Amino acid sequence: MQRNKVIEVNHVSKRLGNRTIIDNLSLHVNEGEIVGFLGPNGSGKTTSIRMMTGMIKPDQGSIKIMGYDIQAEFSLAMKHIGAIVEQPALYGYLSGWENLMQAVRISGMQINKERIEWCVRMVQLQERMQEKVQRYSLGMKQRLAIAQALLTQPKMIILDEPTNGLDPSGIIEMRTLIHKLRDETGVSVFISSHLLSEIEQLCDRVIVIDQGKTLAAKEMSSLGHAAIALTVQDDQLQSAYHLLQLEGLHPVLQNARILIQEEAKRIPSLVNHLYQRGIHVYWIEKTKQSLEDFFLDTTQGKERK
Amino acid sequence: MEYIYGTVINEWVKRKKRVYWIISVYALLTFALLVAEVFVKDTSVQQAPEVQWQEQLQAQLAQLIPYKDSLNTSDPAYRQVANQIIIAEHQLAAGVNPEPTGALHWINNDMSGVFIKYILPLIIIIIGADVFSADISSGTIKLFLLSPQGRPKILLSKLLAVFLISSAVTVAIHLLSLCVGLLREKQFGLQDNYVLLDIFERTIVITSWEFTLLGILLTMFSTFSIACMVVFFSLILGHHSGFATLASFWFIMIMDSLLALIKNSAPIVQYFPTFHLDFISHFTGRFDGHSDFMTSLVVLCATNAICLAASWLSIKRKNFAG
Ligand SMILES: Nc1ncnc2c1ncn2[C@@H]1O[C@H](COP(=O)(O)OP(=O)(O)O)[C@@H](O)[C@H]1O
Ligand SMILES: [Mg+2]
Repeated sequence: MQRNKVIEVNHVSKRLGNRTIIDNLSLHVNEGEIVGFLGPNGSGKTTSIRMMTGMIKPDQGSIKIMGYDIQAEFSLAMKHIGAIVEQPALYGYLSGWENLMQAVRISGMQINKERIEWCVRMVQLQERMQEKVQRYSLGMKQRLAIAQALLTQPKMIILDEPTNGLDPSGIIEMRTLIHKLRDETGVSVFISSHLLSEIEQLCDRVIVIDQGKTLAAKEMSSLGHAAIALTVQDDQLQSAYHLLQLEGLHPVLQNARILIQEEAKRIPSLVNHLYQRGIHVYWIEKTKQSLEDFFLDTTQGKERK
Repeated sequence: MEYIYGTVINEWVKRKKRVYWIISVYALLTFALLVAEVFVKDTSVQQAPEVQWQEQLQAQLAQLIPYKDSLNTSDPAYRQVANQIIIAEHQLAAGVNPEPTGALHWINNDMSGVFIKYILPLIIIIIGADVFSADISSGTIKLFLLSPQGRPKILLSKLLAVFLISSAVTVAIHLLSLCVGLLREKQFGLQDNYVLLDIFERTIVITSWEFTLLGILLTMFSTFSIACMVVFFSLILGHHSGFATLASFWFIMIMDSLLALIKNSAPIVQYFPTFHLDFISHFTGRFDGHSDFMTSLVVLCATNAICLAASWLSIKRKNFAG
């Protein structure tokens, strides 16, 4: 099925302060998709997002939102996106409700009270709207900013590290919220993070960026080829590794486990084989190749060159 | 249009506390002055004012005329003195009291001089010097950048917000003067006459309310000019909120005193914009300097154009990156 592209970034480059921060970056987000934008700190995620939201202009390349060029047709393009870039843009000395009103007044559209209240319920802040934002926790501020971004019923929301600095329960809440949003409204979500573990469970697709270049884009569903993790005693890790190699497998050491790609029906005989050589397997788990491995593979693979 | 209206309301919401504060302080000061006056008032001097002003004016003229003759025509004070004499002579001839007794006069008195040179700029700086810099330095400018309005409208609407809010404060202060005036004079004095100079420096007589209207119009123009300068500094020095405010303060309120020191040796500095803010005083013959009304108008218009163009270029090209 050919899906519509909500945003399309084509061969964008940007120099800032005599350094190429973004180098020939291309990416797109389809309708209704949750796309992760992964990269270590300083890799250019925020700079990319600033360009995607018109806050800085690319030196080269083009950015289209719903087919509108962000330079030439700024107003038409920006009507379709809501975004949080780095810190939420909130006034601490105003109430939560007034902060939403500030956005409503310059949204360029009619936004009725029901819509605002719907956004507030979505982020579960209805109890706290009259309170000043400076008394909000970081997680509440992030949620208020999401409500703000949702006011105009955008086709896509762009979130720049929304879980940065949140505690574990805050991170889970955020994840739940983003899923709920997409499921209930079909909005596309473009979410950046330097923490792989967060994005892993959230996204349909991830794009990895490092030093201003996209390294790889990957469907999450294509990541999960069954790998089997064997846990053995630490001092037997090396000998087990070699034995498995001798069996013609390509084992991978990960933490205190050995990962192998193998069909399930061969597992019992493999374990038996190890047992006969005096190596005791304590746990057998089925794992996915985690995004972390994929991420490390791609970023390190690049550095080795 | 709805963007501009929205931004003006937004800025008002953020600034209304300051506005109330400014008006309260002003009211308090006015009240304090009134109270002081009541206590200090010397009740022994009770003369018919009709006679008094004419005698006073004649005495003044008797001093001014020899003073004018002693001045070189190139002296900056010459023009001012000569115009004062022309007006005073006309006032005597037409029987127009230079200090009318209606409440409107309290407004008209406020409009030129110290008010427009120092109080009005201070008010505009308090209200607007952070109109961009507060947002840029704290990152809340993103709220504006992410709205579909586009950058030229952000500039225009923020400028308009500063202008409108400052004008509203000015109106409130004028109303305050009017109230005090009414309390004291018990009449509006709408038909009181003023002797003024027109733009060709000929004497004319207009009524009090006409003068008030003219004054408000010209004050608005000066307000707009100050707002343009303040917004310009706020934008280009946006990353340091305090610095932007300081720059506005220095340029608008301090520079003229410094430049006045070298005015004689470097005549070019007389075109510095803040010397012309008080251009209402061209009409009352009290303008300080050689320039005529048209020169002042051109200087202020040019200032506005330069500030607007520079701000526009700056906001168009700015990378809002951290
Ligand atoms: N205004 C700027 N001028 C010069 N360099 C910048 C500017 N903004 C960001 N950078 C540099 O660009 C790189 C990418 O920054 P950023 O996009 O914020 O990364 P991320 O969001 O992925 O952590 C960093 O090395 C940073 O130092
Ligand atoms: Mg960042």
